[in-house]
Amino acid sequence: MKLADISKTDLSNRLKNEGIRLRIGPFVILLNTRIEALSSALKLLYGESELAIDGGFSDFHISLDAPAGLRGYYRPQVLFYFDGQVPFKPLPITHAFPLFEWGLNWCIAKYVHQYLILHAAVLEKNNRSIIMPGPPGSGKSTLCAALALRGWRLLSDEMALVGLEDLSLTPVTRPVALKNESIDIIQRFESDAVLGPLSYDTSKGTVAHLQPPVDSMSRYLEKSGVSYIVMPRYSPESSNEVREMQQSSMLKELIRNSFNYNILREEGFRTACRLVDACGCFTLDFNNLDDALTSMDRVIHNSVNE
Amino acid sequence: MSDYWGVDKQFPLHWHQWGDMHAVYHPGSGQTHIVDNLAAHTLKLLETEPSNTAELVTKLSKSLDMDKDDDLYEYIEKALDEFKRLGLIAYNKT
Repeated sequence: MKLADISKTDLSNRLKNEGIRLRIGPFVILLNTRIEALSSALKLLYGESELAIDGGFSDFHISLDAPAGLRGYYRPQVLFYFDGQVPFKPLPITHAFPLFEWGLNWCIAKYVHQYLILHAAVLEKNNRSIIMPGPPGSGKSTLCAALALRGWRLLSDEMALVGLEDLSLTPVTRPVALKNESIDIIQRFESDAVLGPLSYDTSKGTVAHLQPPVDSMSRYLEKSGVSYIVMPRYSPESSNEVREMQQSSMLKELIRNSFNYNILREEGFRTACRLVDACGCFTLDFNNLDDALTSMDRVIHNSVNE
Repeated sequence: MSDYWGVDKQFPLHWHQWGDMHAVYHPGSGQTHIVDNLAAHTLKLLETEPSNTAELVTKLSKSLDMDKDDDLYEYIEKALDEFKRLGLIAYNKT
């Protein structure tokens, strides 16, 4: 059963009581909330996610709720609970959905170490996968959203889960987080793009999330092999150009963009080196999405130098 | 008596090579460093056997098939300083 198959009222009731067990990639998240706006956003953005049967194991127990007492009436806030603990300061209640997303990122980065986890988008086309690591401002999520809207399979916008043994990429397909001007850019790029509610004045500015493609969500258990690593670099002044990147430089970027390299220690080093060995390594400078998409197609067709 | 430097056997280095660049992981610090061929070779000499500066200059001059000179001595001193700063080598009193 998918989340979208539950009526709005039933979903709201279940979230307030026993919770729902949402399958996100390899994880099962037991989620509770009394916040109606969060319930609506989940139905819109995670509608294609499968629900796990009741009574099984859940990887993360998460709830989001307003603090008790008078604060529920004056500038209401939301708290993120993980196993009953509150790891973060409260946020305005209008930031409930971004807080769920950021909190889940934190849970995975902090507790999941059977993978090398990179801060990277992962997409696939024609059985070729591209890992796109990138710091904030690199255009990673905007490019990721555009690729997903043009038929690429979305495995992740935020985290590459790289298998330590086989370097396989495990999908953790979730809504794509767009910030500030990226929201308008994607709406202009694809008028049919479905975006969740706008959250204003977050620590990252205005945030909205793009509904993931149905096909990508349905393939949530299908791992992918790795083919390329591309470092996107958006700049309005740059020309569109793909360049091969030195492997040792790519290793440094992977380490810089890893959540758990230091925890994995030697295993992290070995895995990151093998990943670089296994991939074509590129940088992509771009100033518009259409040209960037063309460049990404050239990467997967091995025609960068043509 | 002179200062001997070597790689701490408690923390054996892990290496990976791409062309003339080498990645070296130091388990003691958890840090990864990228070094060129010459620095990698110098560090591997210290990994094989602790040496003082003069011995290292001799070994490296043999590897390079050249006579010892001031430039090589200066290179070794700088390399040792850098390896020490990064914690890649430790003092071995003999």
